[in-house]
Amino acid sequence: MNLGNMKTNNILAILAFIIGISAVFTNHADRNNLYPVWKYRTDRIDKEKIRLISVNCLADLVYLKEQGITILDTRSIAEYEEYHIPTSIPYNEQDLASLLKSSEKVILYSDKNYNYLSEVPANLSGKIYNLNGGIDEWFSMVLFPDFSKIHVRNRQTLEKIVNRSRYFGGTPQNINLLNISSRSGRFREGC
Amino acid sequence: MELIIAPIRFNYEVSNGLLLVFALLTGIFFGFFLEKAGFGNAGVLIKQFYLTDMRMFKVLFSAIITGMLGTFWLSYFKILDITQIYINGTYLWPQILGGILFGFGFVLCGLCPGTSCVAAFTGKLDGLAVMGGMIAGIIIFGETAPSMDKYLNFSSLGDVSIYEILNMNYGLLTFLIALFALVCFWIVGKVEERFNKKLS
Amino acid sequence: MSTKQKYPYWNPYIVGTGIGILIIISFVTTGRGLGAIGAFSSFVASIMKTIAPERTLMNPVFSEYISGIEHPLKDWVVFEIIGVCIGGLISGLLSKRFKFEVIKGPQISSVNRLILAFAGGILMAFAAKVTRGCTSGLALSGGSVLSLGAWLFMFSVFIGGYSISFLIKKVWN
Repeated sequence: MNLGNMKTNNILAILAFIIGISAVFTNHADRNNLYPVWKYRTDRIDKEKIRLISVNCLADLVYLKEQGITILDTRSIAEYEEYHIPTSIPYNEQDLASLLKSSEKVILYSDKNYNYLSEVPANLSGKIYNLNGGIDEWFSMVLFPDFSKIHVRNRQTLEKIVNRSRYFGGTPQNINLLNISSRSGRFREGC
Repeated sequence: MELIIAPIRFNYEVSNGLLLVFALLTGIFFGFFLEKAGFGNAGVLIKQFYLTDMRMFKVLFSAIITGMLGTFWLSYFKILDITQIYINGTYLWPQILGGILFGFGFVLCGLCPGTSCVAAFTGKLDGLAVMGGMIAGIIIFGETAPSMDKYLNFSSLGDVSIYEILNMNYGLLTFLIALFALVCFWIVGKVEERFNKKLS
Repeated sequence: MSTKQKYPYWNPYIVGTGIGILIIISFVTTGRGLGAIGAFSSFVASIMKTIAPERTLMNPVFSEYISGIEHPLKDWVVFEIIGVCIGGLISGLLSKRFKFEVIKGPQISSVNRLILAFAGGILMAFAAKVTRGCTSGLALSGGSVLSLGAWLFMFSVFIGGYSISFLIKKVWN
């Protein structure tokens, strides 16, 4: 082990130590305490670019009481009265402009699929998101998750889904049919 | 609430062909590094298990802590989304017992699956023999696995990480593992000196 | 093994850091780490598909590799292993370590060494399928994300290796 090697090794070791010890002083959220990742994907309908967020993302945002978001229900008032996502308000075309000014992001949802607004001024369209799957997906994934169909990756995710479902007043289904595996294929797992 | 840009494959549209080309490039560098470390030669790798040349341990652990620190800091700055990367599933007893069996096989031939390709392509015939043996082993597994299905999927915990099981802070665990690795490197250096002095 | 080399091996810590950076880049671009056994599985599955397609489809292990639209060889791991071979070849040629030989100790014949290597390969591949990964896929990539199974596997490999190494000393000295 010549001297050049010793010097390189010591430099690497000191670097590793410094980078490692500064990790202790962080408050890093891991996979299951979700930092509310504002994850969206864009889709194109008739050349319009729309932004979609998933039901799980919305549920986490409501569960963690994230500020600056307005959730709008675009269905009829009767349907709104029957059930609406907690903290959402009925959609009213006239209020949209003022809502867009007061809140950072606006999320629209409907029955099944997303709908989009075609008369939004271009500089404000970045604030509008649509819920992918609508209320139907909310029911099947958040309120009444069916564990014989939903694929769960580990026990912590299972507890998170169950707690969240109960928080919103739903009941998880078929927990006895739960199948925990890191991949849905049985034999083609790993690398 | 910032945008996460990595893994690029899941957040942007990447063609499959580009991914495969990238796989090839990654593999080329991987194979290059492995051969430069001397792992094309089974004699160098096996010295690890006689405590005279602990290269395999050093390379393995330094790669792990580099990768660990990298994923930790990239996910802390919200550049990498840690919920989207693949975390290997945990099957307690299959992996413990299978690991011991893998160790037996490793010492028998002196090469691991990745380095056997490097050895075979630098002319070493034992590398070719290992590759042939692995193909035979997979065929054997394919014939016998369906009858062992119950044992193979026993004690599955899913995708758990150590900090989830022990319920501790991710950053603290990162530091402890890095510290453990550095201490191990120092110990291993002393072990190497002692066993090399014994031989010469 | 005692000949003086023209190009010495690199510092293992530098190689380890380089491989770690490769793992990080791999996670950032594709969301998965490296792998080795998956390539062999795909290769075996594709060969068996050409030889005996009906039997392969009935086998639950191989059918998962050949079901689907893509050809089983169009997999990330397969291309990565091809790259490993090419990279090893390039490095071997550049460092003048390319040589047709059998690495063995003086007390054992070449044929016996090759037989033992074949047997070791069988054991390793079987164990790697049981544990869902080998050292590069499970220990390296799984260890970086602190997967519990990866660390248990890594310790088990060392325990298994050290416990049997004294039995086969004759192969190497």
